[in-house]
Parts: sequence; C-alpha cells; structure tokens
Amino acid sequence: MIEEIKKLVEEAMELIEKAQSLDELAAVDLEYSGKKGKLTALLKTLGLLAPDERKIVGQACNNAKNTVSESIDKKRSYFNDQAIARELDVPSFDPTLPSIPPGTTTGSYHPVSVVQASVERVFEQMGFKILDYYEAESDWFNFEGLNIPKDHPARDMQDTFWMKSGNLLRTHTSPGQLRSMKEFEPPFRAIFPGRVFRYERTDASHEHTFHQVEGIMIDKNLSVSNLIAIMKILLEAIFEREVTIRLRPGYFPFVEPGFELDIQCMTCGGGGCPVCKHSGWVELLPCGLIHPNVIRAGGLDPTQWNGWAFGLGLTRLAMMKYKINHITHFMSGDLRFLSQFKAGGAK
Amino acid sequence: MKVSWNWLKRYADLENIDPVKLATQFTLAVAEIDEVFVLGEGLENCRIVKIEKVEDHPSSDKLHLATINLGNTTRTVVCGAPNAREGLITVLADEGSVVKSGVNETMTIGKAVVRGIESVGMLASPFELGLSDDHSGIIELPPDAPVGMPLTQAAPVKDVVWEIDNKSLTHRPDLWGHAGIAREVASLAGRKLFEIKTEIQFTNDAPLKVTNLGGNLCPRYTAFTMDGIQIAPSPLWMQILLYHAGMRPINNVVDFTNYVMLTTGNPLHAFDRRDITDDTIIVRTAAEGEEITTLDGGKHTLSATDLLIADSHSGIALAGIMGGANSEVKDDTVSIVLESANFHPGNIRKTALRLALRTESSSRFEKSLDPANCITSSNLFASLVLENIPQSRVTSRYYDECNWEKPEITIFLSCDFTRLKLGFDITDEKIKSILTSLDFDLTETAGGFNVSVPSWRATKDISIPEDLVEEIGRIYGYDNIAPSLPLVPVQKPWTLPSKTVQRKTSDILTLELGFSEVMNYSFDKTRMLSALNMEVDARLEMANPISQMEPVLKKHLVPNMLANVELNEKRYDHFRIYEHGRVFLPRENEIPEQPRHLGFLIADRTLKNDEDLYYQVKYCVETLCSRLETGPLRFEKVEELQSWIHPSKSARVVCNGMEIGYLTTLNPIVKRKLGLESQVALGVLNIDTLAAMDKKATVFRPIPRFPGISYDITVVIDPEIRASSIIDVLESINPEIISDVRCIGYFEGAKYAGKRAVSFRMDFIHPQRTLKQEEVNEIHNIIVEKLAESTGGQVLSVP
Ligand SMILES: [Zn+2]
Repeated sequence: MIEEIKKLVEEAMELIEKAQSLDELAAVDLEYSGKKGKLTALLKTLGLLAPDERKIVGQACNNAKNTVSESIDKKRSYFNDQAIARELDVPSFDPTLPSIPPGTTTGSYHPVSVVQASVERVFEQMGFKILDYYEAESDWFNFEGLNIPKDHPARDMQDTFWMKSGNLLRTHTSPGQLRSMKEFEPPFRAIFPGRVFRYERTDASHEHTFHQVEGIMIDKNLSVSNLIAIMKILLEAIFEREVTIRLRPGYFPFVEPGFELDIQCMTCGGGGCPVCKHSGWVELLPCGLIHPNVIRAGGLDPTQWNGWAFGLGLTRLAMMKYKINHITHFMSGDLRFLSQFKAGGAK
Repeated sequence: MKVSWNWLKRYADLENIDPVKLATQFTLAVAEIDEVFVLGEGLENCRIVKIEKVEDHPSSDKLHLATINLGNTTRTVVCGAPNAREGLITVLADEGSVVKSGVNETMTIGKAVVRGIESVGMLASPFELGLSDDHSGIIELPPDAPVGMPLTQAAPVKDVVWEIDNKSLTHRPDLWGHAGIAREVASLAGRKLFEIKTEIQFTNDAPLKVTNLGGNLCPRYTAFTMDGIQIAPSPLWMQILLYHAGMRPINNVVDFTNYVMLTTGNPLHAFDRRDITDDTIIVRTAAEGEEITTLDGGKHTLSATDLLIADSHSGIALAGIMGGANSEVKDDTVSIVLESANFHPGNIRKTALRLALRTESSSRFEKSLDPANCITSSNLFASLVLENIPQSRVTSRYYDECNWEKPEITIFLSCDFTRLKLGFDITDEKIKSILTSLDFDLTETAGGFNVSVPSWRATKDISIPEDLVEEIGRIYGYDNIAPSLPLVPVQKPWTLPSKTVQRKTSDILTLELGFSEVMNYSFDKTRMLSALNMEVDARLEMANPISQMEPVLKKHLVPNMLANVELNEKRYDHFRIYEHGRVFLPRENEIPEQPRHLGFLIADRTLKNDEDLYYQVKYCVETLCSRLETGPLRFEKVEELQSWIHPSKSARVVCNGMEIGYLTTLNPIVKRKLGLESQVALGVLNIDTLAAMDKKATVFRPIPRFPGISYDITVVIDPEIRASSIIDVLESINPEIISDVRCIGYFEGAKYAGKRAVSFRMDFIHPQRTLKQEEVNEIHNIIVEKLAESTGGQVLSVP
C-alpha cells in the first residue's frame, strides 16, 4: 500500500514538473486529488484494512495529498508571476499611438463644487479675487496670528488635527486672512474657499473634513453697515430670493466686533418649524470687523487699514440647497450620490 | 448656563417685563439663548397645608389617610408617601393642578377613588412640583411656612429660565453669574440695577495663618472664619432658585457658596475648620507627584505646575477646581473657613484638562474672572450665613493676600470713529448713555470720551476702542443699522492661474468627457498603503489621527481613487471619475509643500484588455491640454515608477520641456492585490505646473491660397519603434511644405510578421503655388528613404 502511494506521488510530481500551463496543472490536480482522483480512491479503500494498518496508511495517504497540492500551488503561483511579468513587460506597446475618444456619457460635478462655483461667481462679479491657500498650516497662521494665543479657550472650540511635525490641518479658512494680507497690496477684496479639518467623529451632521469659504475686504473705513450689505447680496444671490438677516454678537478672537449672522428660516418663513428649532432663524455664518491685532499680524498698520471678514460653510450650504440629510455622503466617493449633480454652479 | 428670571429680579428692577419677549432682545445684544423654559405653570391650585393626622388606609398596607389643614378647612386625602407624618408642613396639589409625572410629562390632578376612598387633590413631592429631582416622598416645608397660602405666592415656583449657550459667554467673564446678566438686562430694558449691598463686620482676630505663594497663579486669595454654623437645609426660595438654575440643593453652607457663585460668578469654597491643620493655609504649587483626593472621591497625582491650597500638613483643595475630601463641610461642621479667591485662567484650564476634572468652578476661573469680585462674593456669603443660621458669627479678620493691582484701563473713544465703524449716524449722547448703562465711567473730551473700563470688563474683555464700538453696536441694536455698500475703487481684473486651470479642466471633464467629480479625504489608508507597497512617511504622520486606519497625509491622489474603484465597480460596469486636490510633500522645518493635482480615471469591467482604456485616457489628456492651449505634448517613458504605474503601458506627459503629469493603466500587481475586477487606466496632471506655464495662444493660420494635398502613408516598423519617432522624422523633412503630421491608425497581424503597420496623415502645401506631382513624388521618395534610414521602416503606400 505504502509503496503504491509513493509511486503515485512520484508520478504526480513528474507531471507537475512537466506542466506547461495552468490548465495542465488543473488536470494533474483532478487526476490525483480530485473527487475521483487516484489518491482519493486509495483513501476510500482504507475501510478494508486492519485498524492499526488503517491508521498508518491513512496518514501516509493524507501526507501524499498535501505534498501534491503544495507542489501544485507552488507551480501555480509561478505561472501567475510569469503571467504578471509578461503583462508588465510589453515592449511592443506604443504609448504614442493615436488616442481613442471615450464614448459619451453624462458627467457630474461634486455638489460642494457647484455651490462653491456660485459663491465664487457672486464675488468675482463684485471684484473679489478668488484665492486658494494651504490645507496643512502652521500654528501661527491658524491660531497665533489670528489672535488666538496658546491656552486661549477658543482653541477648545476647534478640535485640531495635529501633525507629528507640530504643524496642523487648518481648522478654518481664516489663515487665508493673514496670507492674503501678506500677499496683496491693500486695498483689496478676496475670498478663499477650501477644505478644513476638525478632529471629531463623523455622524449624520459631523465630518472631520468639510468645506468653507472665507472672505475679507481690506480698505480704509469699512463699517458694519458695509458688511451687512455685502452679506445680504451674497445670500440673496445664493438662495435666489430675498432674504431677511440679523446680526447678533458672536465671539471670535480674530474679529472685533464679531457677529453671528442668522437668516430668517426659509422653510417656515420665520414662524417656527423643526428646521429652525422653532426660533424662526437659522444661524448661518460668523463675521465681523477684523481685529486690529490680526491686521497687524498680516503686516498692515491698523490705524491706516481696517476690514471685515466672514466665513461660510460650503458643505452646509450644499446640504441646504440639495436637502442632503447625511454629511458623510460628500466624501464617500459613492457614484450613486455623486452622479446626481449634473448642473454646473455659476449662472 | 441657566438663568432664572426670579433670580435676576433680585438684582435689577425688572417688574412688568416679559422675560420671554426680552429673551430675543438678549440673544441679539448679548448672548444666544438656546431655549426659554416657562416653569410652574399649572401650580396655581397648590396650597401650603399642615398634616393634622395620619391614619392607615383600611384596605392597604402602604397607603395612609392624611387629614390636612388648608388654613380655613380640613380635608382627608389618600397618601402613599413614607414621610407623611403629623405636624409636617407640605403642599397639596388641589384639583386642577398640573404636576410633573415624568421628565417631560405632566398630569392634571382631579378627584380619585383610591381603594374605595374618595380623595380630592394630592400631597405632592418636590419632583411633582418641579422643584427638585426628589420624588422619594412629599415635600417638607419649614415649620414657619404659612399654612393655607397658595404655593406660588409663598415661593418663587413660577419662573422663566433662559438656557444660555455657554459658548457665547466664553469671552465675558462678567456674565457667569446672575448679577452680571442683570446688568445687561437692565441696560437693554432701560431699568435700574440694584447694588449688592453687604456690609460685614469682620473682627480683628487672626486665628489663621494665610500665605499666598502662588505668585501670578493666584492673583488674590482671601479667607475668613465663621463659627456657630449649623448645617441644615437652605431656605426654600434658595433651593428653588438653585434648582431652576440647574444645581442640586445640598445644605445651607454648600448652597450659599453655590448661590454666591451663580450670583457674582465667583466660585467660593468652604472648609471645615477642624480639618485645617495648624489653622494654616498656604497657596502653593504642588510637589511633582504629590497626591490629593478631591471631594468627589477622585485621586489625583499632581505636577509641579498645579496650584494647591494646603494646610501645614497636606493639600486641602485643588485650587479653583475642587475641594479636598479631607476638609469638606460635614453635617456636624460648626466652624468654617471661607475661601474667595482668584486664579490664573490658563493654569486652571491646563490642570483641569489634564486631570479631566472640569467643574463649575474651573470653567469660571478659566474665563479670567475679576479679582475685585472676591470681596463682594465673601460679603454676600457671610450675610447669607448671618441671616439664615441664627447662632452664626464672623470670627476673624478678612485675610486678603493679593498679588494683583486693579487695572486702570482708560480708552479714548472718538465718536466719529464709532460712527465710522458702525456705518451709522449714532449721536454722542446715545454713545454716552449706552456705555454709562453698562457701568463704564465716561469723561467728555475733544471729539469723544475717555472711557474708564470697570474691573469686571478689564480682565481681557475690553482693551481697545473697537471693543467699545461693539458695546455700543449691540446695545443699540445691529438691526437698526441700515445696510450700505462700500464705495471703493474698481479692482484690476485678475484670476488666480491655478483657479483658471481647475475650472477649465473640471468643465471639460464633466461636460465634454463624461467624468464625475469625487472628493476624497486628505489621508492615506493603511490598507491601501500596504496594497500599494508604500511606507508611512513619518514627516506627514498625524499626531492624533482620526483612526489608526488613516494615519498620514497623502502624497498622491491615486490611492484614494483606487478605493473609489473598489466601491463603485460593484455597481457600475463602466465609470469615469476625477478629483482636484492638494497632495502633501514633506519639507524640513516648514509646512509641507502642497501642490494641486488633478487625477482622472476610467474603470471598465466589461473589457478583456486595458489597452483601449490607455488610449482613452490619452485622449482626455490631449483634449484637456489643447483646450488649455499648452502647446504640443510628448508622451515619454515614465522614469519614476509608483507601484500603480504600469512599466510599459504608461507615459509621462511632457509639454514645453516640462513634465506636467503621467498616464498609465493600472499595474496588474496592484490590481490583483486589490482584487479589482475592472480594467483601469488613469492620468494625473499637476495643476500648478500647468498654471505656471506660458500659454501657447492659438494663432490664426491663413487659409492656404493654393490648394494642397492630404497625404497618407503607411509604414511597417518594428513594434518597439514609437509612432512619435516617425512623426519626428516626418516633421523634420520639409517643414515649409509638410504640416499637421498625425498618426491615424495601425494594423497588426500575420501579414506583417511581428511588425506593425502604422498610418500617418499630413498636409503638403506650398505657400506660393500649387505643388506639382513631381515635387510630391520627390518628397515621397525622401520620406521613404529617411524612414528606412532612421527607423528601418518600410513605406507601403504611394501618393
Ligand atoms: Zn423654520
């Protein structure tokens, strides 16, 4: 019996050695270890043997099967590697041959891009520059220079992604205030949309990565009244309807005075509904006159220059515009979501 | 923070003002009110009653029959409370009362027959009356409570509570107590603010030794002793106010400290004097590793920067955060030491954060409280004790260990500056009256006022004229400021070059080439990194990653886009996606370099082979670049191979001698590792490089005056010869006549015996005349010769 097993293994090994393709290999596998294979057939005859012999032969038979299948696996991965190597080495492939137009399909924009484009359009029409600054920032641009020193409680409000290098991912688009003041001669006006990061768990209404747009205007003698006027224009352009807004005090270290701007609830018209938590108003954006310390940090003389700034959540705006109920869709990469937004942003 | 209207009324004249209406004004002028609660509605039929007699219910073990005195009548009601007893003064919720039956539920009391006995009204628990969380028994009123009087008349149970968003108070240390809120409310309503009048006679005795070694960590430490203390419940009105403000009443001394904190904003702490070894109080920093057990039972190991209140033996309180378990006030306390102090906000915050011990006290000290407030707070506490604990007396001098000098902040406020900043024509008189109503001291001077800032606004809140403008604007009401657009010079038109490239490429990909835009996180996933054989670059690693699965900033857009393929190939046979985004490249001692990239990718699971996809992506690259007017492209061999790049089926895209990106089919090893079933090809362009490039503006080519001919040839070449090198040869032959050389197709097959037949088309045009056939033949012969010579190619076709 044992002899017979030995012979079968030798036979199988020789065939494996000779095999030239995956198909031949599969045939060997079937012939020896398959359901009707030779080794399998031997195993089925064990019942005829005496118990102590049965044990020895059974074990030998199983070892044989293992040996054969190991060899087959080895050879199979050799074939696979060979196939990959062949696939990788294609000197005849000419990357300069004529292109092929991909067939027509309908593309789509990311909903945040749509909203961002419409905001950019509004401001460009009013002579604002559209700028784009770094996402990984230094502590100085994200906090210190914005009048938020170390130990300032305002740092608590913005849970921060820190890098091991000591830099951070910007928690707001506000570093752009300092960067734009350093880059452009006053007077100027600009907005800077982009992604921002907060160190928090994601759920239906929280994302650690989302989009904001920040805007500033630097000139002499800009007032709260100017800020209100521009904000109203912005919101009426975005929502394509007349809006009622109100300012209330809001504390942000980089503005003084600082405001929270509320918009009258567009769902209920101010009467109160679940969207506005029955207050008739929806908190929309923080804004204010830029703090003299920030003007100074931007390299300008606050006795000469002043300005205002605002920040607006683009992701939030897209949620409002398209009635998207779950914020995690935005970064999901799921085409069932993404392919729904065909319209471009600006009009 | 919860603010009780009844509490406010103790500190300002607020009669006949509707607190619900005023809440909106407060939100617009001071701080956001999240919610307004109207409390005690439906308690009009509740009366103070005295239990005359308690008998067993004839058919119940647990229920009693209580005979109660309502002042002018008596009545018997069924009652199940364990504390119902003869002589107890309690409250009957009579028929029609609406009481609490659950956290957000109420029930209306009526007549009931309980186990055969009719009972009208119900003896009520503090919980049912909305006065505490306690529903273990009926409420127990003090023996002198006026029997028969409606409860709403005897105690401040009817109230309106504002829930103010704490975040909107962070910058206002003066608003963490009702007195400060009362000042704002009085200013808004044009009413009078009451002064907190408390004059306490301290003695000349000096039983304590108080030493303040805290330096700037403890600007002020005051203390005094009181004897004759008897621990008991605090008066009912105070218990109710505390409960309305969100605090659980404990006992008189603790309640008094809390009451003072919620009035002046200054946290106090009372020690049992018996526990202060040697009557010695030392304010000092902890020894590194020193331990303290706080009165919540927590054990803390301190560091040398933590501030400690200690006696001669050990720590007795974690300064500004929580008292020690070893010295807390107990039921048999008769003598106390009362601490009223001020601590460094940043240091308190640091300790509280590190020990995860944020308390009502620490969150107030973090806000930079006014050290001047210590005395008012001490006095208010002492007066409450003296009023409410009959045998009590002050038994020491007022220890005042002060490292602080009252700041004298005077700001010149120009009235024109105010008007300019607000953009509104507010009168000098109005400016003056608003600031005065907030207790600023004003002296008139040329063009404005010298404004002296009260100490409670001087800790960090108000220091520059802009701060005063805010005070005026908010009290005046921003709603009263009419919007007006700024009058500014026209700006030179200018667009950020990268923005132009991003906009154009997005539009081309979406509108012309049928791609969908995706946005992915800025992090790489460990799973992808290992499948792509990439290392985590420590210089881009996050100190606090959102998850261990995404520990590092990405250097490439591609890995996350491959994850997009994994997700979407299950549902889509064919799809095209693109992403605009910054990638991160580490630099020493600087923030990472963050170039803007564009990645685009086609996936198709119906194809057997990826070569067509390569040429489709190449088509996209060419379309994008021609619309960006980059000038001619070259597709050259990729030198730096990322793991996903196919070594043969790829090319780097070169334009004007600059590499602008690459395209490739997905490397089969990566494809197998990720288990992707789709064929994938992708391209990456560097937006910043494209934006920085000089544009090759399209220049009109005159329509030829003389007819030219369109000339096609087919060349049989070794497959290793690139079509582009044939084009190079053709373009060099006679540039004056040969133009617009392009490859138009190729054939392979047995017929060509391992070679490839590639066809080219070009125009032959002579600028001055029509070409003669002989000339064409001559050029053709040169072409045949040159191609044979330089590429070994054999030309098949003839003109
Ligand atoms: Zn609403």
